[in-house]
Amino acid sequence: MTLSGGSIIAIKYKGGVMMTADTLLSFGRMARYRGFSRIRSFGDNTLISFTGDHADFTTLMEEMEKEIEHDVQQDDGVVLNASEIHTLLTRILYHHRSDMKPKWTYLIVAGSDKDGKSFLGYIDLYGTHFECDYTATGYAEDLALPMIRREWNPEITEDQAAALLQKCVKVCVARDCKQSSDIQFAKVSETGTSLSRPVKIDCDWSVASYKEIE
Amino acid sequence: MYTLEKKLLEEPKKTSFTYSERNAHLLASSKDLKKTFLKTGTTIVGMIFKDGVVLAADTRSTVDKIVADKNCEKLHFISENIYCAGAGVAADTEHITEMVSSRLSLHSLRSGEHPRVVSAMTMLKDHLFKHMGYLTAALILGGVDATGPHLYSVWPHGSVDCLPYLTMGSGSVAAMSFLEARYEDGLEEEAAIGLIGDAIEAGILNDLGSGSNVDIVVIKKDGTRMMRNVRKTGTISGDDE
Amino acid sequence: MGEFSPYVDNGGTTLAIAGPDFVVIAGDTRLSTGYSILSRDVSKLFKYSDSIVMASSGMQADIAELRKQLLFTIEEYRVDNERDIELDAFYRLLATVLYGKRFFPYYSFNILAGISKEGKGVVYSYDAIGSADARTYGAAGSGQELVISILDAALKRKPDPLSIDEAIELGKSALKQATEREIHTGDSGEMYIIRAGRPAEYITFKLRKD
Repeated sequence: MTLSGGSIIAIKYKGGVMMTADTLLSFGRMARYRGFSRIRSFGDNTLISFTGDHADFTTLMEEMEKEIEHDVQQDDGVVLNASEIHTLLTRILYHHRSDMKPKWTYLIVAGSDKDGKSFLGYIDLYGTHFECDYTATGYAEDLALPMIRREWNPEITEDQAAALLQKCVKVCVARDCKQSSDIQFAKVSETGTSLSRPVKIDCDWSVASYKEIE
Repeated sequence: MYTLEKKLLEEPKKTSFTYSERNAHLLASSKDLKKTFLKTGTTIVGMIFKDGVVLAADTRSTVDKIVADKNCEKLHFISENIYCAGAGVAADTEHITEMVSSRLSLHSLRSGEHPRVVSAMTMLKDHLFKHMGYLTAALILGGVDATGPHLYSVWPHGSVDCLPYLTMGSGSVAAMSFLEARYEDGLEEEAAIGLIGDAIEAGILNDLGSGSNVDIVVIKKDGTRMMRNVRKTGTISGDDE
Repeated sequence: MGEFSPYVDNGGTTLAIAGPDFVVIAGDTRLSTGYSILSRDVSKLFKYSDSIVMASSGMQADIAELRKQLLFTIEEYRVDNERDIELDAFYRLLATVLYGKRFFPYYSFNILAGISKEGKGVVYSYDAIGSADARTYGAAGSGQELVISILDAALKRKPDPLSIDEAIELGKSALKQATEREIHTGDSGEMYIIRAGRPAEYITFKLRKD
């Protein structure tokens, strides 16, 4: 058993990408470390977040740092954008799976592509990857995606996006036993990345006292 | 089976757990056949609302990855005032509900009253428990009787949940996300039908085991309304350019 | 924890139909694992040149890698020979690249469609490890059995030569039928229409989303 992180939900909105994750690291079904940020800003304009094995993610990030360091040493003023980081991470994850030593993580990369348009990408431990308008990993893939697929549209504003994510997270807290109610929101837009402090999500547990009328 | 018989002869008096071997053998040898059973890899939902109970289901039935029936019925008649939505192996859900239905109809002929939902629930759970999970039936039972509206889910091993809103089947998580976000106590009939339709639709569109249309049954004190194919979600989304 | 399995099946169906001087190749755009849809919009078609399009289903990560390897090689070919690769050479190349991973295969089922030197439409159908042959039509992926039966029935004993409109309609309809009965196929369809001496035309069409 290892330390692992839970669900991530991410959606594009008009002007950027928004992402949410809880701040819990679990050890099996034990809530081991609280207050851990699973969303990481990478460079000025990219967010990376993970579901799955924490140690593997850390190793991946070290591998990425090396790549970036190499890139910086070129001193050509070229900075990798989110789309390129997404491709790079895909190659690394696919390489490890082909080595039969997979890095057990599901990653979401957000930022912008070479044309400055919003970018959101998904990668899993097999190297499966795609670009999308919204995505979720972990249990949120089953819980949040159905709602987002129904309600999302390309014209969604920042406030609407935040409300939609809030609604999705609430369902995850109610239904996913490994979801903590301390949630971080992050967004990336033209002005750069921002990561909120953990906020508490209220949940209505009154149904627990439901008794049948006899 | 030869080794099993030999073992039984060799140790005739000892208490043994040889039947666990038999079970393992049966499981292993039936694996291929099991794959060909008709499954209703399903989304089913049940919900209490202001005036009674509403149940709903999708209409896809599958054998492995192939759609066997595009418009099957998963809302099973138990009695005029009780219906049961079924997920799992089609034969199991159909036969169990039919058995309970016929036993309850004799029951009410004798008593001259509508059967009670708890009776149906007890019959279902006892039967399923007796068969130790080998009957693959995950059911949502709902109805209105002399004591009011009732809603239960019965699991293949015979355990029962009793809550104001329930989902089962492969699309249960997708459907539950909608209920969890929008359910409230004492919903009006129209709102309840709308919500339960959306929940099934979530299963149809997001779970590959569920598909095609939405069936809904509304059970109230003053009567039952069966609404077959109220939404044709699967086909509408595939309309030509 | 059991042994790691490096393969996942992402489902999806592809097909291709060749005519006297054209070929159409199509696929759905659903990306799935098990009972869940990862994306409704991931292409299975890849255009290598104006007259060569490959359709791949199976494991998306392996397919992406295969495409990359092929792109490297044809770019090398372009530099060395100062011209684009021809269909017959590409057909051999794909077979060789696939067989190169004979003992750790790419989990990909490919169909290649293009126009031959003689200006004829050709379809090549591959297995995962590079056995291939030329056909007039082919299908692959999770709905292969369904689609190939439809194409067999429509084309096996067709007396008159196939027209391009017939091929397009047949391709679309076969994919729609597969979507009706196979759960991993759906969302939307895309098709390349390749005619001799003309750039490939790209069209999309809707499929069921359930």
